[in-house]
Parts: sequence; structure tokens; C-alpha cells
Amino acid sequence: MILHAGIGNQIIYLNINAILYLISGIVALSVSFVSYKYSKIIEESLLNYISFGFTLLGLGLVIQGSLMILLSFNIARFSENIRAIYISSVMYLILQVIAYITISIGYSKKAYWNSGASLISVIFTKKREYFLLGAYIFDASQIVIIFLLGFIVFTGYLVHMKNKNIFSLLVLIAFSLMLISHIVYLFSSLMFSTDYYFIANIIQFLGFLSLLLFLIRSGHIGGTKEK
Amino acid sequence: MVEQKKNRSRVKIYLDILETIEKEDKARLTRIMYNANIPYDRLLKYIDELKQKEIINEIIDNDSRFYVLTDKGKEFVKELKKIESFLRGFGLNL
Repeated sequence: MILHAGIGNQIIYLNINAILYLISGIVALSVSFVSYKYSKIIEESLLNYISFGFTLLGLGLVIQGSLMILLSFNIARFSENIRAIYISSVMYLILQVIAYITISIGYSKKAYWNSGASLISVIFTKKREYFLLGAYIFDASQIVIIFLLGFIVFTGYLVHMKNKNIFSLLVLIAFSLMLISHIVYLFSSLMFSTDYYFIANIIQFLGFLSLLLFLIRSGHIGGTKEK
Repeated sequence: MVEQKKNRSRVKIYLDILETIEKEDKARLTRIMYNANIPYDRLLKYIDELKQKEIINEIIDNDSRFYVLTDKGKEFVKELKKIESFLRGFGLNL
């Protein structure tokens, strides 16, 4: 009886996380689509970086969300699926790192560069266990992501201070929440706490909600529009 | 952040012209010229392009020439404003 209740809770936990991932993924893919569409109209390299970065981010989130849904249907055979879970989770982390590198390169190119010269190169290795994923890889990736998002938030802050409009504020809030969520992800890994992991997921989701609000207010979803 | 002075893009010039017409409902060439800040000869070129694309129409009222937005033009302005809002989110301009 207690065992059944435990499995039931795990399924609910997986499903809630899956929904948060899937909605965030759809928002990220929407941002990517709009950027791609506009990059065809306006020659602006930052749009290509944003489009590519959010595509990777969206794909990673959708893959992770789908995996959690599959797991919840097949929770009894959890151990047999470890290899698939491990590979897809590492893939998700790599996609996230590349996505944030891409967005930060785009931002830095726009804000600081006049020409070439790569700013960031990232190497990460090792393994341990966290939520069926090598924790060293997870921790190292989180540190890299926190560093990249810190840079993106700082640039976003400069952009907002210069423009002072609701649109740049919503983007700044979104990236700030993503940064906080990754700090909490790292904390959850160090504390071996699934509660903090769940909180991190919610904070990340709120970040994507802010992006969704940005799309709505700029008139890309629904009918409202405000300048 | 290093600020580089950039020329207005073609799309931004279109938007400036169309916003003047939208604001005035129907606008004279001179009004568009001042509001959109475009020299007369270049403005004529843009106006011709917009007319050919059926984004604006020319009308004669009391022997004066005015320009008005077509339905297609109104939609075009809406779309350009959406693009501008999106770009502003990432610190970009049209």
C-alpha cells in the first residue's frame, strides 16, 4: 500500500516536471521561430544567435519533458531505462550549454565586439550519480551555465538600462529567473535534494513564462499589444 | 556598451513614412517629409515603391495630393510594429 503510494507520488512528480519542461520548451521554440522569421526580414546577426540558441534550448526541454512522461508510464522498469535516461540527460545538458554559449556570443557580439575573436570555450568531463546522471557532469555544466547566464543577464541589464521598455525588462526577468534556477539546480545537486530540483524547475518555468508574456505583449501570441 | 551610430534601415524608413500617414489619416508629401525626416527626392522613391506594393494609395482632395494607408498597408504597419517590439526586447532596433 505504502509502496503504491510512493510510486504514485513519483509519477505525479515526474508528470509535473514534464509539463513544466514541455511548456518551457514550446515557449523557447516560439521565441526561436519568431527570431528566425525576423532574421529573414532584418539583417541582424543577434537574431540568428537567439534563434539557434532557443532552438537548442527548446529541443533540450522537449526531449527532457518527453522522457519524463515516458518514464512515468514505465516507472516499474526504471532500472532498464537507465542508459537511455543517462544519454538523454547528458544531451539535454550539452544542448543547454551550447544554447547559452550561442546566446551569450550573440549578445557579446552585439554589445562589445566589432570583429571576430571567440570569447568562450568550454570543456567539461567526469561523472558521479545525481538523479541517474553523472553529478560531476551535472555540476560542471551548471557552473558553466551559471557563468554564461550571468553574462547574459549583465548584458540584458545594460540593454534594459539603455532602452527602458517593458519588452527588454521581460527578457531581463526571464534570463534572471533562468540564472536563479540554475543556481538552485546546482544547490540541489550538492544537497542531494529533489525538493530543490523541483523548485529550480518551477523557477526556470517562471522564466519561460516571462518570455511567453513578452511574446504576448509584443503581439506575437493572442491579440494584445502594448508599446 | 559601445554605441555605434547606424543609418536607419530601409524597413525603419518605411515604418516612419507609414506611421506618419497612419497618424494623420491622410498625409501630404511635405508632412511625411518632415515627420519621417527624408529628403524629397528619396521620399518620392519610397512613396513610389509603397504605391506599387499597394501599401499606400494616392488621393486628390481639394486639388491637393494626399496619401492614405490601404488595408494591406494597415496590416503591414501592424506587423512592423510587432517586429519592432520583439527587437526592443533584445536591445535591437529596426
